[in-house]
Amino acid sequence: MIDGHTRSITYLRLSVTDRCDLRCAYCMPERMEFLPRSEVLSLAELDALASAFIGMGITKLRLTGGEPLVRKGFIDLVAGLSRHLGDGLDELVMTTNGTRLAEYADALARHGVSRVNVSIDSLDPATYARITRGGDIARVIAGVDAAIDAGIAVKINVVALANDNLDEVVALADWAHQRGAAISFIEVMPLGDVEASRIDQHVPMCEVRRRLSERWSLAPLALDTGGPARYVRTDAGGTIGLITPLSDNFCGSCNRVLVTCTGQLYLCLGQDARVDLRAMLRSGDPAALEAAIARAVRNKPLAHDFLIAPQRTQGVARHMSVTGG
Amino acid sequence: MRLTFFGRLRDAIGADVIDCSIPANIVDSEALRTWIGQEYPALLDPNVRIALDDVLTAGPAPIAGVAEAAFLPPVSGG
Repeated sequence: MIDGHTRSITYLRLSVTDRCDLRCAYCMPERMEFLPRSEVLSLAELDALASAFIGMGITKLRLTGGEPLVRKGFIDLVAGLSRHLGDGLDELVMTTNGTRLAEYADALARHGVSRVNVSIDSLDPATYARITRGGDIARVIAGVDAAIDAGIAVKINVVALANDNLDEVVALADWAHQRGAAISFIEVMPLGDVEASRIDQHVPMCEVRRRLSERWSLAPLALDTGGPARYVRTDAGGTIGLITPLSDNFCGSCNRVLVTCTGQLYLCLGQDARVDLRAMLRSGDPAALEAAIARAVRNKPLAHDFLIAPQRTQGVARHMSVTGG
Repeated sequence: MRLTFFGRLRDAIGADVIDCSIPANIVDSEALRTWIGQEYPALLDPNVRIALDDVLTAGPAPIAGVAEAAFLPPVSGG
């Protein structure tokens, strides 16, 4: 699919649930209200939707949440979608918080999941428990090790937080690289209303880069994923992504669209415009669904409009867990 | 050091103020541009002017002791 700005759209991020077993402070409020189940797409609907996108030229599918592994029947969904691998779909990947990865890594590998992104914002048990409001880092580490043992490539995603993990960025990168995992650092994004002030927690990526560059010499890596990430290789051979989601330098090569677990198609993480694909799905007319997707993609916005500034932070009201993290 | 961005640079970067410590080997305004430009390529445009503590630079200027570097987008004439 080619959008109205001649960008080739090949990457779909599909959220399978808005529920999560963690409550990361930057992601959702402590007492998050989840969607009624009737609003969430069924496994059959998720399969039909993903399959329609793959039929239209999506070659990379990332399953997101919420936490995908808390969705009942998730492995069945993955098993079903794996039929497209080698037949339109090149990559079936997912993002997870890792709490249940130890349990499911073998099944994911068996059904063709080649890579997982695991969110880990601290290796310190107390800090991790504070950021996630109760998470157990030991379970997540066991999950990462299980995924690696199962042959799944792992990337660790770290949201850089001024008060929580800025002093830990070198240790986190070291830890990931020792396991043969890549790691990416991400600036906090103005998505959804959460209690903690985002200005207080915002760390510019140049600050992360400075800390890493005191430990390693960093060589730029030509690895374009069509996203807002810059990749570098350390002189010890590890890969590090430095992600500045608020900057719009990368919109020109954007290759992705997002679908929420209620079937809302967002053409840009940082824009409110959406198309209700659930209504199309439930109307039972595959041609209408495909036409709606094609029309929406043609109108994909050129750029987002994020701003982090004192008193007037400008973002979107949806929580990260709604659109898919 | 405090980095401030104006006009369309503010929109391109997604922030108007960034506080960031600068590595010791970055000693002048153009090296600073190259360093920060790794994250924000919009700043690499040579037409983006840099002011150090409110003084506009023309070419590399030392940043030792500077509290604020402001990045100014090119202004079209006419």
